[in-house]
Amino acid sequence: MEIVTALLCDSASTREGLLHVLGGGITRLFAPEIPGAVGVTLAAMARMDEEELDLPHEVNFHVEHNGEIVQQGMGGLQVNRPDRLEDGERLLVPLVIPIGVPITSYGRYAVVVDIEGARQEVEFWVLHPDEQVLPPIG
Amino acid sequence: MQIDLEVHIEATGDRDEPAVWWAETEQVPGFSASAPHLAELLERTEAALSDILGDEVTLKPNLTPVESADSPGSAGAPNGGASDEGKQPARNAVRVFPPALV
Repeated sequence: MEIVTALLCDSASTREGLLHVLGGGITRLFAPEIPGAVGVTLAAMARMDEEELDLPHEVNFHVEHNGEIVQQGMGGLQVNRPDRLEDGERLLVPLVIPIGVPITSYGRYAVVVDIEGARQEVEFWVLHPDEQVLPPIG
Repeated sequence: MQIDLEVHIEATGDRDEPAVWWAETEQVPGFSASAPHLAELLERTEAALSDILGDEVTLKPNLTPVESADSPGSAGAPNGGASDEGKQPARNAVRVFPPALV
């Protein structure tokens, strides 16, 4: 098992083994008040070896901030063997995890997803809206 | 002896309590086992069923979907049907995520 890619986005869905991402690549979120909460979605693709098919797997995620875990969750994943699998072919499996993150202070946050030791980390920054630099008008 | 094991993951409904894994099998009516993690569940189940049946068992676990929609945050039912031509084949994926934020 390998998590080959992961990113934060506005929303995502899966269909027929494909990952549909809306507003992907979030690295900054703006919170006008502290404490508060922000919502973000983790979209990821896991690559599974043949022997990992037809078995349940445990998926864990957590959100870190200032060395502490501020949110965490657990889920399950199972991918059954398709009718035809090419010799040596490994399946890409999409994962979508909506996350509500409690915000206690501004700064760096990191979402860590782990599937039985296969791990990916995606960071984002929570800033005050006053720090948002808008492009000049006109 | 091979045991077909239905594996479930469920939220406890309590934000402070983590989700729980549990398992059952039609081959041993009334039997169920639970654990905080999947690996522990399978280990406990294998040991318990070996004791009950008085024989070594091989588990064939299968994750049970909780809903039928293949959408974010839900369990996708096996979608082994036809896919659109030119696209990747349908995948039989069950995702139960996240049953709980703990």
